[in-house]
Amino acid sequence: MRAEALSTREAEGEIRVFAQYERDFVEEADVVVVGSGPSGSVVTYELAKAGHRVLLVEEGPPFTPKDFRIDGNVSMARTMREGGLRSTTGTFMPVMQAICLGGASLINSAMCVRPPKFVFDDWSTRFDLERTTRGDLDPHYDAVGEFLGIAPTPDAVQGRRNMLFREGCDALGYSSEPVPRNVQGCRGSGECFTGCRPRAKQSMDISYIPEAMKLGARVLTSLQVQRVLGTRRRVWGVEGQVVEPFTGRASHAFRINARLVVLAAGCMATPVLLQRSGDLANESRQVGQNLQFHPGCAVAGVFPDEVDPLFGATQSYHSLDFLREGFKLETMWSSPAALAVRTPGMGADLLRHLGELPRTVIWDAIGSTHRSVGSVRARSEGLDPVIRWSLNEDDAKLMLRAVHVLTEIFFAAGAEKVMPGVHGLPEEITSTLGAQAIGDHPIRPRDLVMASSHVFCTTRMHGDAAKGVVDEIGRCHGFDNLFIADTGIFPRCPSVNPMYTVMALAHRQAQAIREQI
Amino acid sequence: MFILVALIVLLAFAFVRLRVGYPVPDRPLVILTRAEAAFLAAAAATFFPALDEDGRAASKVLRPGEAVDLPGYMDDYLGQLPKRQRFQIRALLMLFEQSSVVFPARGLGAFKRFSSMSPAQQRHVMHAWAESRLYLRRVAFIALKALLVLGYLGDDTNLRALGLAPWEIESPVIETDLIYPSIGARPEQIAFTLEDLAAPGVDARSAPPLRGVEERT
Ligand SMILES: Cc1cc2nc3c(=O)[nH]c(=O)nc-3n(C[C@H](O)[C@H](O)[C@H](O)COP(=O)(O)OP(=O)(O)OC[C@H]3O[C@@H](n4cnc5c(N)ncnc54)[C@H](O)[C@@H]3O)c2cc1C
Ligand code: SF4
Repeated sequence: MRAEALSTREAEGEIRVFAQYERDFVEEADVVVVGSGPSGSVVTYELAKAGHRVLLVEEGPPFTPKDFRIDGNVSMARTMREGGLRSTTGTFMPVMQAICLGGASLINSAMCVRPPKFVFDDWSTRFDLERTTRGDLDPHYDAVGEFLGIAPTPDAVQGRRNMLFREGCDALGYSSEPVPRNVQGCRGSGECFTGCRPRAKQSMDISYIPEAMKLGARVLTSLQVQRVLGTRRRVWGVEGQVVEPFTGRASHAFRINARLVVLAAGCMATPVLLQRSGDLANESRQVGQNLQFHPGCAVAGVFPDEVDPLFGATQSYHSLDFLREGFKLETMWSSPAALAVRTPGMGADLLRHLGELPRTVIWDAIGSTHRSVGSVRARSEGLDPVIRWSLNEDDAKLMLRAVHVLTEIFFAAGAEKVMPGVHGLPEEITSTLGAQAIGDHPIRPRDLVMASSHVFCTTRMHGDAAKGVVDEIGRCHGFDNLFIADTGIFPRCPSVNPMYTVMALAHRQAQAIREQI
Repeated sequence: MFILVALIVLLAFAFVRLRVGYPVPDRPLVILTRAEAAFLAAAAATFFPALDEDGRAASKVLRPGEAVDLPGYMDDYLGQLPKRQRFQIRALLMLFEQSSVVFPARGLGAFKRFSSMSPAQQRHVMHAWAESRLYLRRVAFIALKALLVLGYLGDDTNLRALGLAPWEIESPVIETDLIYPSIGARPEQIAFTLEDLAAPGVDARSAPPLRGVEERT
């Protein structure tokens, strides 16, 4: 249940932006939360609700609609780390992390999916996590779902390109369903990745964070935490510098003294922060290790008639039919220019393909590539990570199988040709017979063109302190007052989109912290 | 002595190859050099040509690359990137411009800079990168193509021609607009008041889907 409007009551909370910092400063709080993405925002709200003095620190600025840019390139340069050009070494793969109030919830497509029971069964048995079954987490999912109004996307805003996916799945007997999303009154503008101008998406900056402020939480933006202050057993705060939006230029220094620290800086940033803080909480040697992704492969299909691709929620139909096999299929849309990047050909050929964009639909597959494990470590300076990761050969076969299934769904939905986007395969496949070639293709990991925005496991949960960084409630092993809340604590990739799960885990963590302090 | 002369000759060659003979760009550029701008213009003409290989119009709908100010677009875009990424992209442009030193084109002038090659040679060079057996060459090609396509379609005329220009959407004023200033501003500069929040008709959350062509035209 949300409180009355911010401006109509005496809010104890506040938000500070870059222009307001005029000198070095020190602050005090019961709890400091580093990072305002889905995990940090839920913890902040829940602890503020329990009456604690919470300070939420975020490196990025708050974005208003005036700050959004429709051009995908420019939008990424403004809202994402390393200008949206971050990538892995090993197998090259662009990976996206946000830098803004609300974290990636500002620019994600709002898909909220609970992993099936078998995912948690696997987590609990492999990683000694007895209290992390689906049944244990369901009440936390329910609480977050109710707060954000998570509900399946209605047909009225699906648009043709999402409905075609349903038709294709129906024709082949695969299950499919409308995606539950954290939106209120989505208008189907398909621009979730560049910021929701209709203000329908309940990203953290307009949902949990203002509600936390009404309960007294203070939100300091444009602060880059550079060190967690502590010894080998206890922490007492964080310190860092004020940074200007976009340029990252440092202005003033700050320190925040707190009884308890929650790191929610994201799966790439939290391990780097720990490494930069004297290798804190790393007795297990697992900090920065075990990195996993859900790599995504996009496949394009061209239909005989225009599909009015601008209309329809960004990603609002999916199939969970292949989760056990290791992949999930979903619809997708982005700015036309960003989608055109994967258009094959050059010269007149490329122009012909671009001319087909109004008839083109893009769907994608994300893979649970458990066998492909990497690491994150701090560069010689700064907080940007070096990300090592290589796609395992069996996982490459898994991704190719997903591309094959998507191709079949396209033809079943009536596509006249499909562009699988895999090096070594024909650029265009024009029949189901041609699609069979995909199944027989001797794939190599480097033939796939992938991207990923789902990142996990760099500070993984494990019941055994020697094998993981945090325990079941996200508390660092060996510490009373240092917690991690972001997707780094997932012990394995969750097989479905991670935001809902990281919020449910954060909800549970906040309950545990409340009991502790 | 011989080493010194060889070094001077090498430096002179590098200077000429990297700097000399590039045209002045159509508009003043803040970040890109003349060489980088010339490469982008040439690459735009290769990827988005006016004519196909048989001399017919390459597209009836889309403008040719030469008519799109790709160097200008890229100059603005680079200005928004952090330093390291800006450097990486500029290095990528120069890698392609100078690559014939290592991967020559076909025919006469095979070692020319990319921007000075004939259109057929330019096509050949790009195909060689796209289809290379070397993974890193293919990755570099994908990155370059992504930049070029984004810049080419960053031109609204092309998106409009495809019927894919972004919609005009008026954002409703919500409560956080009363407390978050736009980036770079101070809270005192927020122009919205409670009345804006309450004004009837501005709350698009209850507005209908943006369905249909009528709304866009
Ligand atoms: C483009 C995109 C689309 C996606 N779509 C979906 C989707 O539809 N559904 C879904 O379930 N998932 C989606 N995801 C993934 C999902 O958004 C993330 O898994 C989720 O946001 C992770 O939450 P988090 O709190 O762990 O971290 P983040 O959201 O990454 O937030 C971390 C925050 O910490 C801040 N921070 C980092 N370092 C510091 C520092 N040193 N000091 C201060 N602050 C710092 C960052 O600026 C950031 O705001 C998408 C992600 C992206 C990028
Ligand atoms: S599809 Fe459009 S209206 Fe709906 S949540 Fe995404 S950006 Fe907002």
